[in-house]
Amino acid sequence: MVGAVIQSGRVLYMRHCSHCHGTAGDGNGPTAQYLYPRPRDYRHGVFKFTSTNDMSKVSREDLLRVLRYGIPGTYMPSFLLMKDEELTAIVEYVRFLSMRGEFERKLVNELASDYSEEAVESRLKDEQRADIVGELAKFLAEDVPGVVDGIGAELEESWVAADSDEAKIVPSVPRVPDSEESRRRGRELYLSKTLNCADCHGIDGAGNGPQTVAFEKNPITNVPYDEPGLHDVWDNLNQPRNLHTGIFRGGRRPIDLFCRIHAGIKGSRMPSFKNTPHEDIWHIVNYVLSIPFEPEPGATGVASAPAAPATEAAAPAAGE
Amino acid sequence: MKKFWALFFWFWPLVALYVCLIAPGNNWWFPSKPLSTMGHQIDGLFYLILIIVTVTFVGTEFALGYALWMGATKEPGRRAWFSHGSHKLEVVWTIVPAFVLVFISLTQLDVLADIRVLARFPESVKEAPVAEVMARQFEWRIRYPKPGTELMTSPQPGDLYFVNEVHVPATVPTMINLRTQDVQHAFFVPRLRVKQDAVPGLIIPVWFEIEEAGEYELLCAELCGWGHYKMKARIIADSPEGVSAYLTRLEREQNEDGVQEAETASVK
Amino acid sequence: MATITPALETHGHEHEHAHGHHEQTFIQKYVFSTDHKVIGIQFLITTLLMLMVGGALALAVRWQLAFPWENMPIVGKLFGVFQGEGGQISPEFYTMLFTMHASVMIFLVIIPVLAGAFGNFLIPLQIGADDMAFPVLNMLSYWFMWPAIFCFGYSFIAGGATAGPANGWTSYPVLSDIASASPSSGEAQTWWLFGLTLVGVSSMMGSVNYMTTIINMRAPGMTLFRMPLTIWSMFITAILQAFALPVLTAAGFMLVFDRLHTLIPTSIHSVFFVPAGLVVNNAAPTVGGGQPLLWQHLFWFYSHPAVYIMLLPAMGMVSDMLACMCRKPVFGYKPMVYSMAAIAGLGFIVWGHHMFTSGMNPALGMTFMTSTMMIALPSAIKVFNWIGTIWDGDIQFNAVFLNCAAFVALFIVGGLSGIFMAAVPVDIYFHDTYFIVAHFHYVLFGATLFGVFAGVQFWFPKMFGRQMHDGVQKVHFVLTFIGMNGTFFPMHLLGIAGMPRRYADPYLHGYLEHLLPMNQFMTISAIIMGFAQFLLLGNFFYSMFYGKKVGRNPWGANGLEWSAPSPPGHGNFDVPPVCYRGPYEYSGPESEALGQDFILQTTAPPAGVKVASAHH
Repeated sequence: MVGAVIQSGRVLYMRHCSHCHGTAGDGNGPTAQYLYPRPRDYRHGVFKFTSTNDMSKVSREDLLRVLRYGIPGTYMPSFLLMKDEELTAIVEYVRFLSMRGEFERKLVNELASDYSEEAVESRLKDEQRADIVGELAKFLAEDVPGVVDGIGAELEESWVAADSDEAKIVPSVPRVPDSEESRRRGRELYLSKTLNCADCHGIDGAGNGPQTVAFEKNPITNVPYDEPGLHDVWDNLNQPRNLHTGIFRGGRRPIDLFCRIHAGIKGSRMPSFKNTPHEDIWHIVNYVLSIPFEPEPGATGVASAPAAPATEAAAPAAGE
Repeated sequence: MKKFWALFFWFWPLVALYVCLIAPGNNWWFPSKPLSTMGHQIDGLFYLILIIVTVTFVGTEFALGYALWMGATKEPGRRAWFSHGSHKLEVVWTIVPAFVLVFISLTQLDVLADIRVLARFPESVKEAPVAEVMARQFEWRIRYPKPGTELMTSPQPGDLYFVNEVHVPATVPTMINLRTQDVQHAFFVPRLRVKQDAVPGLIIPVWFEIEEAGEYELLCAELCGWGHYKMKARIIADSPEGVSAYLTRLEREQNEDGVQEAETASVK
Repeated sequence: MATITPALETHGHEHEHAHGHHEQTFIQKYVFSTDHKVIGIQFLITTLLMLMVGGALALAVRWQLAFPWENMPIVGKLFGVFQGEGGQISPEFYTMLFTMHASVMIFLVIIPVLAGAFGNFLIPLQIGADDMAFPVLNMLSYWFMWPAIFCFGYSFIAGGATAGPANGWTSYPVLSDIASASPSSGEAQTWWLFGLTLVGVSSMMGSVNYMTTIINMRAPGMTLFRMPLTIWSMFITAILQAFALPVLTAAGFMLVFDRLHTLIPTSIHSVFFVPAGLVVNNAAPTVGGGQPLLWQHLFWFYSHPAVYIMLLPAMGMVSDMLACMCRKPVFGYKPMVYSMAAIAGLGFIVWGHHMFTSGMNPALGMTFMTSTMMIALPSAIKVFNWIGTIWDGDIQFNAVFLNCAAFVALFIVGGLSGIFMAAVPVDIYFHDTYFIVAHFHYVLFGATLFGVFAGVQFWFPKMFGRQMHDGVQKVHFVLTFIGMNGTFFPMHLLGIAGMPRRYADPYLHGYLEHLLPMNQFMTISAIIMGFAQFLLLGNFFYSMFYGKKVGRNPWGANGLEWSAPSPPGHGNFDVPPVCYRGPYEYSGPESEALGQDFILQTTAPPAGVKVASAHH
């Protein structure tokens, strides 16, 4: 019956999703070119906002959540009113498109290293075309079935694992109650050299750290991007969030923010901080949640002394 | 053939009337009876106008058809009626419609004032909107005040957020603040007969009193871009206790830290 | 007021002057012609072709509503982008379709066919002038249509194949203002605005010309109250244009300034209609202190009078044609004139009824409701008078008459459905549903276009000296009438059922799902109606060359134009016309004395009979 679910998912997908995400899930439907940020290209098998560990795929529950509540701050709208079985069908179809896309990409990569037009051309310098063709025939006959099975098994394992309990992030301690002290600690961590959040998000959390104006290289081709700033694996400019807007794309629950820090944002330059003590992550969460309501940017003091004396200390300095 | 044309012009208004008559039975009519207090007033006015208009429609179309019939059955050779008009008739058919139109106009004024004039909003809602409905391309973002506090125009710590679903109390007057984050939208609830544009830069209070608990479609009725038709949401009318229970639940969900849930799961 | 004798001399001179133009080249005669008749015919043919374009766009809209997301015929293959989607169009393409359908129909069909085609052709002929007051300006008014057509046409592709102008023909900011708010809001919308402005330039040149010509160039004896109602309607329309259009042009320029940076990045970038703090397409919040409602006020200050610009001339023409086809004087000539003037006057103070749900001050809403209700009154008077005109007439049941009768019958529907929307509380429910779509199609298609169909056939002999085939016109009439009602009558019910307009996929909403079969029925009706128009075009072009040749006055009508040759030469009248009576003296004693049922306005009364007073 899995087939039937995917089939009804396809019908729904074509009606609700395909004009942005594309028929093949390549994130390039007719409407996609007008959207900022660009719709997700599923074929990498990577989804940004997950509740799973940094190395895990997205879970069904995560996809369902995105469909239900949308992604604020993007054009991904909420499909809250669709029936559960419709949403489930779409989730299955999206998973299907992701797996298919990922599978095809991996297969192409496998072949491209030795047999792409470019590779063949460079090999022709010291090899005969007939030899290469013979080698390719042998490769297709003997190795490819194994490769196909291997990729398939690998995909199956990773996608199945994503829904397991092991993949899910569970904080080892409950959220540290929100307090002045906790926020200050969070800010301290935010500015610390080890976590270095400010490098991207800026000292005041306005999303304007030094990395946002640096020129990056594409990690695969090593070619520098045209415009400065951080890029995601889809090669789109993907600058760090301005934390003052109060818009949290992956959700505004403390657990959502915890997961963003713990696992990073997959496919983007937001790294995983899974080795940071969970208590510290909660401090940062408390700080980040308070940023939109700061009386002025960066008002949360970092000194261990309470905030009020700190401003008093600053006042005479300003008076001088 | 001449008579055919006269009959043709008599026939089609009858078809039109027939279609209108069978429309309610075929579900080609209002999506439901009005389910808000002002919806009853609006429907009442609609039916009043419908009666006046139907009588006029039948009268004028019949007269037109009859005029054609006269022409079609005219004995050949008889000349047309040479007349430049009638002052008396002109006066009659100016004054009568004028009275009818002024009458229609006057009957509307009070209802309009009740719906739109802030000074006439029910006292209980005037100062206390239950939620802010923020339209954006292409969804409705809802913000409730933290339970026990009042709704402020700017977001406050502890505010509760949801999307595409507004919970409001039924059977009491309710007011929401309507805004838009980007372009113009309109807040349209067909079963309540409520519609109000969301204008960029303005916060517009909208009040209504839902008569029955239940679900009501909410959609956008002002072109807001390519995804205009996608703005599908609902209003859930519930008892006041039900609404506060919902808000408590929403507050708990919004403060979810992932640990409680895991513990309860392991207990099972 | 013109008098009879002194003008005769001048006319002789003009006539001679006209004969000096025989060596005109083809280009001077048929392309850059300053002859009002050629310009009128140019307008007519252009608008008939644009009618087909607008109709094709409408059919594409209807296809999507009947068969949502199915492979759209032709269009699905036309653009590579939709091939990947199996021919399924994108929602922004649908938005473009209805926007351009409305823009083409309003700005390139209805307004120019009435004022441009019939206004140009008829005004000098019916008042007995040899041409317009400003012939070169007149030529320019036609040739400014083409840059407008170019701008509208270019806007289809300026932003890419799928991003034509798609903000509705009303182009409400902020959607139409901020470039990232909608796919088309980049270059396409700016080109669209240029097109709109150029149409305005064209209309304005026509309107000053019509006013001047009607005031100054009437033939001797053609007093104001001897003018045919067509001329009255053109005159009132021209005044409406002249006073309302500057407001739209100003608003248009403001919007252009807001968005000129989409064409020239370094140019002006004002924010007339953009308030501060909007987050559009997830960009940084906007800065500015603009007010989006300002556009709505300015736009409707023009566009409501424009509704009457799109209707009044047809009303005038239909009055003329009904009188002729019923062989009867128009019932209540002066009330007809006064009611048109009243419609025009009230037309300036009712624009707010388009904004009842816009968040405008409710006190204003009450004022606009009352004035809007009152504008139904002159319309009602006109309907009664038309019925009075047909009453006990010697009706000629040809296609001209049938189209005119359909005009009256359908205008009744359009007028009555307007009352629902004039009542604010009821309008709150109907605003932006299919009810309004039904309403304005009954007025603009049901009334105006049927008037145009009649007018084309009625004045065709004067344009080309030949007659259109009446049988074909009758078939066209029946098919169009049935198709029209089949398409638009159910829209009332869709509106009552709460189906909002401008939805690419209304069936997404559960309470609208059951309306799909009705929409399919409407689409089939629309297809019938659309293809019926080929009969009109075929008949038009065939009759132009092979139609039955006719003389000066094939209908036995009274107007001055019928005393000129068919087609009239350069300078119009071979005998300088002198007007002796009103235009509608059908079947009267004077005509009876001549043994006929009509008497031309130019027929001199027998010696000894006193010419009827101008102000009877």
